[in-house]
Amino acid sequence: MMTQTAQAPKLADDKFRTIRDLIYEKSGMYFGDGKKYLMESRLARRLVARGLKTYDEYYYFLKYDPKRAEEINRLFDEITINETSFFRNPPQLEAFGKKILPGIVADKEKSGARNLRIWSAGCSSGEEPYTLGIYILEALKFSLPKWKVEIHASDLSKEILQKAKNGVYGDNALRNTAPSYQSRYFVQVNGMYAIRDEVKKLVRFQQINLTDKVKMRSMRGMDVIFCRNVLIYFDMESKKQVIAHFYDNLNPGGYLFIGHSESLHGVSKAFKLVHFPKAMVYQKA
Amino acid sequence: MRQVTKASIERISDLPMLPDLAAEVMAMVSDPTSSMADIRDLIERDPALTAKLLKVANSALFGMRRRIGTIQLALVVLGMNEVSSIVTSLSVFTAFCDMPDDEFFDRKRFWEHSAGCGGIARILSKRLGLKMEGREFVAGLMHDVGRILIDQYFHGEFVQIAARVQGGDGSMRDAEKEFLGVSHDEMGGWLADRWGLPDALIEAVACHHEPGRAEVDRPLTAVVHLADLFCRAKGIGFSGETEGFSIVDDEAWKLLAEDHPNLADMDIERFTFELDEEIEKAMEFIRISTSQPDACGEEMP
Repeated sequence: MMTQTAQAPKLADDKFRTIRDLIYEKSGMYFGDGKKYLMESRLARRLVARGLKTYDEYYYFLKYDPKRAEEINRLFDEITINETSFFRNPPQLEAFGKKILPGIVADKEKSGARNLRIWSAGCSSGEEPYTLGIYILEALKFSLPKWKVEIHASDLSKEILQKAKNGVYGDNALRNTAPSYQSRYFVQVNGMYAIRDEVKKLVRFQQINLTDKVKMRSMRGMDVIFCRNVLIYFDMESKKQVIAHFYDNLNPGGYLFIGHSESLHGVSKAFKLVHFPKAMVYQKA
Repeated sequence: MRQVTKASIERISDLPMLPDLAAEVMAMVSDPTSSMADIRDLIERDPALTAKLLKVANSALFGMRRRIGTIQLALVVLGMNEVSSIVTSLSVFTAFCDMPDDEFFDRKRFWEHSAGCGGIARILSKRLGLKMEGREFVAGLMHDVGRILIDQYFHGEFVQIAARVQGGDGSMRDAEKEFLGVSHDEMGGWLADRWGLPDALIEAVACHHEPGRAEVDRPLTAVVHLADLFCRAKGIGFSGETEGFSIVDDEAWKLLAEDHPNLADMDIERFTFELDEEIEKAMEFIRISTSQPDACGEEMP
């Protein structure tokens, strides 16, 4: 019997797992069994868009259709829906702010090389690099003037970079930001939140295509690179190249963060996988 | 100091004890002259235990396609050793369940960590093709019971240890050794010994922080050690430890890799993601174990 139009077809457990495994194989992004319901509604929208009736048909589309590469990107757009905000994924940021950053700072205090170079690759509208800036200000506190801090933030899109440079956000972008940080690092203007200059001046924005070898070679001496939920859009060959560049871009012992449900298994063996509570990070040996 | 602590443990009259039935099942399973029917009759003497055992056997932990409706069928399908392990696991809860919570010790979190460790040990041993027959689950469940003993019988020291660790001053084990002359792993081993558990289990509890010391069943201890680490990675650790670690650099991983070269190709990231489901299965075990009022005052949320 036909039901009303908006009703999504039911996604059986085994179908979910087949599609999940295909996504993991193609993108390195993993969806646990707990994500089935979320996936169901989002996959259903893609079925409608492609005029398909069953998840089986959709699976074959993803696997064999000439337009499969384009479709998988549409699917990721649907899955990730640009859910960018300040302090996104707290466990990763805890690992960065409470463990990794203090470790790097302590090592550099010892060696006397007081500089920090962080790269937010695929920075979108700027929430991530500014969040990292806040962590750095919190870690360095009064010793900040003794340090040279550079947060490089890059994206492919010029428009989004302009928005990032403006540094003005609505409520939604600050939904994970503690009230004490809101008042310390933002100024309220006409119901919007503008990031304060002390954070803003740490960040340098530039347009970079991660497959541009010349540009990639120019990014050297990084202590930490964040590239979250970006690599899922690359095919395996380009992904391998980007990761190889990141490896070269990092200082020995430097860290690479990718999306919290992404994996580099099968992409690179150069990094060491380091587990923190609820966060996996890659370290250059 | 270690001897003094051991002597005081030995003098404690109300030490949690393994229920007689669990000890009898364990003895019968290792006795070649006893039959499957003997074991079935013994378990069925306790209807509450029988009911829970069947619930566990039919839970996601075992993922059986067919329903297991009788102890007889459980013994046939899962095997005598696995059934004995379930009885022991359920008994661990019975032994400890009436111990009260206190402000320094979150019992709910403790058992989530312990059962989570058991569940992870279980899936890890399966992936490696190790036939541990549920011993890894019991060992995971029991690996930290020494912490309960410290809280219960050396509470003054426990508070001092907790304060030391909270102040970020060294590891919990070092603090335990300083205040008691013995750490929770060794103390847990004493209890496992007192309960008459097999040597491999005593060792896994006693050596879970130093798997290289294991001699009886090194893979079992190594699996429990790694499961404990994965608990930390999944945010259900209980040591207060939050430093990053590399699983492939870990001593236990290297010990296992000597006999299992395929470990080098394991997709550790995916394994870590998948643990969410294993932990959920282990939580179901807690719910079953604590589900009846006659076993443990109230149901865990």
